[in-house]
Amino acid sequence: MNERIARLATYAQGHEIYPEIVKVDYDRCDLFLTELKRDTKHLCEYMLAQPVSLLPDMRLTGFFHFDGSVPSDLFHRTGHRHFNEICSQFYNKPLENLATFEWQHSTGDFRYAIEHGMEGYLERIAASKRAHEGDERALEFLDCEEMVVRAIIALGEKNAAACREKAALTDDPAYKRDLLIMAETFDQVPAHPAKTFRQAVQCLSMCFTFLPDCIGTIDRYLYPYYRADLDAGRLTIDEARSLIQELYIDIYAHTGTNAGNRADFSAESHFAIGGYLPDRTDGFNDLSRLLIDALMELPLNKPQISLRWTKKLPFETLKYVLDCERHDALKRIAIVNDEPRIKSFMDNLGLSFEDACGYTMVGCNEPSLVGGIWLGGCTTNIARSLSRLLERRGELIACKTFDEVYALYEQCLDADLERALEINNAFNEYRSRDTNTLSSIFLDGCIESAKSATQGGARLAVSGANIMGMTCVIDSLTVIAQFVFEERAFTMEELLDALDANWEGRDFMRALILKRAKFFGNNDPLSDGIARRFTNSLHAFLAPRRNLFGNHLLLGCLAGYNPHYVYFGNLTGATPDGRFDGDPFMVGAGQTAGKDREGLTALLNSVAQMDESGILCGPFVCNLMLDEALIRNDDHFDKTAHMLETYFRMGGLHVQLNYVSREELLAAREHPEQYGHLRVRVSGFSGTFTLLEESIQDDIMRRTHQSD
Amino acid sequence: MPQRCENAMVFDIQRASYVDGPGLRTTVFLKGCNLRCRWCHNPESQDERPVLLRYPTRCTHCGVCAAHCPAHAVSADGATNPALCTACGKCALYCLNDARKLCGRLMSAEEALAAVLPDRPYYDATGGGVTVSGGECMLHIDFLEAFLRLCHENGLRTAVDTAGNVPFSAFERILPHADLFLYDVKCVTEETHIAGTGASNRLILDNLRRLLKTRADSIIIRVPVVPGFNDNEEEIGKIAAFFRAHGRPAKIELLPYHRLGENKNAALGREGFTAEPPSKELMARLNALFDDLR
Repeated sequence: MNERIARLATYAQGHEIYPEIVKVDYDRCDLFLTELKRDTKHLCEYMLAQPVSLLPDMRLTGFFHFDGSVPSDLFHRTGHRHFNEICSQFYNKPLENLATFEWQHSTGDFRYAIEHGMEGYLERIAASKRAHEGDERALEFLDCEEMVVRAIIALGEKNAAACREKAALTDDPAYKRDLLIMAETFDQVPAHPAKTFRQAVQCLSMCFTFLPDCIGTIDRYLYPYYRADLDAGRLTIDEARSLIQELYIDIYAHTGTNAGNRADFSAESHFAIGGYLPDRTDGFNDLSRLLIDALMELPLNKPQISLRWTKKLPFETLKYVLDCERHDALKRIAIVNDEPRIKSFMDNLGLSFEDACGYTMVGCNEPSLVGGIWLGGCTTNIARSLSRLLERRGELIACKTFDEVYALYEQCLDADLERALEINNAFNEYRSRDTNTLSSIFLDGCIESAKSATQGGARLAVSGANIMGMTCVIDSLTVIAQFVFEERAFTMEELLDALDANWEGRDFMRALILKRAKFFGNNDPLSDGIARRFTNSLHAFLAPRRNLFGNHLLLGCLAGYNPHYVYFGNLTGATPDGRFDGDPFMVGAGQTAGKDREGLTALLNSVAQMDESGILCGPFVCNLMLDEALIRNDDHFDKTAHMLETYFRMGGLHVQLNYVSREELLAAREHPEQYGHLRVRVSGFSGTFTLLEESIQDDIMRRTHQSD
Repeated sequence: MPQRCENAMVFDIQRASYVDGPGLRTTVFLKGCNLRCRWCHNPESQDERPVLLRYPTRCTHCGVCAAHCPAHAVSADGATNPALCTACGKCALYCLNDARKLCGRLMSAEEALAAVLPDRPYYDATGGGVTVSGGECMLHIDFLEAFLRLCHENGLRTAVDTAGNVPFSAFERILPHADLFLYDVKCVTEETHIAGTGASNRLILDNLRRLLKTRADSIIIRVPVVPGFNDNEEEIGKIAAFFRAHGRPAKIELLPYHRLGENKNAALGREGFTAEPPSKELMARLNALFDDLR
């Protein structure tokens, strides 16, 4: 990282990169316009009124912030009146202990902007106008899109002029030359197709302002420019690295500043590298590697990168990325598996391989098709269906087999999924009352369908939900199958009484369950089978259904920034897995609190094989907490890398790693109740730290300390 | 003489082991040992019968264990009369505080195979496999032979972790099915060996000499470096000299004493061995004695 980039990173951390927002007075006669035309006119005036940011260290520019006075981009949705209303009512506020409103994510098709320029959009708009002749609503929307595209072209011209103006005022010949290169870059982009790597990155950096969510599969669409410029000697690798780093800094600044207090989080700007190309080869290339290396040098906690693993990815490449990961204190790298996800996209969304393989990762961990939208993200308490089951006391007690119990459960599950879908549709119907003219340009299909992305205009849209309490459901059903039916250790009635009493006076029953239940994550056939049965039920319900826009539905288990697992847990009574009334659910897929006793491979096997249908191929998350000893020692690290590759080969969808430090171990000993999830290496195997004898804990703490 | 028994008493099955041989492994630990190493870090494995471990610091003296003991071996405060205890494990099952734990259950070779098969993809990816350890797993030679054969029939690589204090005929029975031996050598001086382990090392070293002649490539030697027993250049140097005279194994590893077993002795109600682990400097010096053998 050169000094200029280091300084820019510091400015970004101090929120100093973006220009001061200029307020705009609008013509009172605008009130005579339709709402959409008026909003769009104000949007364009606002964009053109913002000053050009030209700090001496900047070589990319063209971005600014929205202040909420106009309907802005689709990610932040400032100025989207209905979105803001529904947010204030339902964001982080569970409805019926079943669903909460969540954000949405989308990924602009910036490749198109780079390869065709704004003039390409103008042609598409003209074609769509011809196709929608006579449809006034469609034509009004397309007129607005044209206004926005022309404003973006004008913005490019404005930036070129600003660079020339500053060049004329500077005496430093090197800086003058750089400013003139910037001016020439803006002569070309975003109006016209980019011809060089620099122009492509500048176009991307500017267009990101109009949909600041995800830059998409940049190791694919920037690669031809990168390769051609390197081969022609127009670009050095160092120059490319600096451009990429400046792009990252702009992304950081954009999400960091606008997201206010969320700047401490490391997500919100995420993209993927590698993965299958349309010709079914693995797409990890030398630019992918440069994208990681450039990020590792920056002291900023975003963007985040996910490596898309494929069966064709060389082990050494996976190991290289894991090596970066283990040294990355900012924890910016995760790994996702293309195999189950692309299959799921084809099976469950009806996509072609070509469309499916173009996905990227966005936000915290949502998959998004490039030029497409992950709509909804509505979070659902899947354990409410379990509560509903437990309320059916008489029917439950009458069950003679576990299959009868499961059939009852499936009724409860279907009813809850139906209601969750209604709520999801209601959320989306309400936010569809806003029209987004700015970001819709960059989402495939909106121009052609003459519809805003908020109204279902995007071709590649997926809806669905993140489900909370999944492991609680699987474990609770396992407890019923094992203790009530297989072992007959207690009756259904006794179990229901214990739950009604919140385990009061049932310490032994609860201890028996916690000690002996075949909980999920132990690679036990009983709980693994129930997990598959459960995901198959989810699939059976959702596969034939569509949301109000006709989009397919997928699920995930991401919590994101907001502790939905706490909100829902607080409202959910005691459950058969030993959970007390009001206890939070665990986050993501996997196991916690020492319920996984069989080691890491058992946990990975359970997780990798839980979802045959791929219905969970939405924002699926699997967190692993590892002892540092597993990755610091090179021989162990090699085994760990192979272990993770094997997990992917078996179908594991996602993994993000955490390592345990001595400080955490001390805290865990002090507050064991909070650290039941902590797994550590003991002597060649891993165990739950809080359950180990004190002397072994001492030994491990010594060891962890030594390995620092 | 080795016992003849179809089933073996298993005290633990550890999946995802990084240290019991090459690659990722599952290690099956069998109970029962004919050595009594003072520093043993798995003292619960010495007796071939199930044993009950007790952790008094976790005990709240609630008396539930006593109420559930069918042999009336447990008193209300949790104290256990070893003469009456049948190690049935009822008390451990009902203990709310994990202050009691039963160690050991009978398994057939088929059951053990079922337990190690699910991790086959990890063995294949890392060149790992199954390790049988103990205790002294070769005391369960019928089980061991059957289990190793089953592993081979299912395409799993195998390793046997042994102290070697069994007749060579036992080795002959498993040679076709053991891909690797993890062979413990504690010391060469016989009196020292007797003092530390309660047994002579003649059989151990004889067996090793014979194995080295035919299977040297598939032997990894493991030498525990134990304070006050063999933690000096003279004793460790004799081990190096042994291999110079009788053949070079695939690998020699020196394992510094660690303290994981100390607490277990207390849990078994025994007086235990306690020592500070050897220093890194000492380990480096002792390791250097094997430089010409590596």
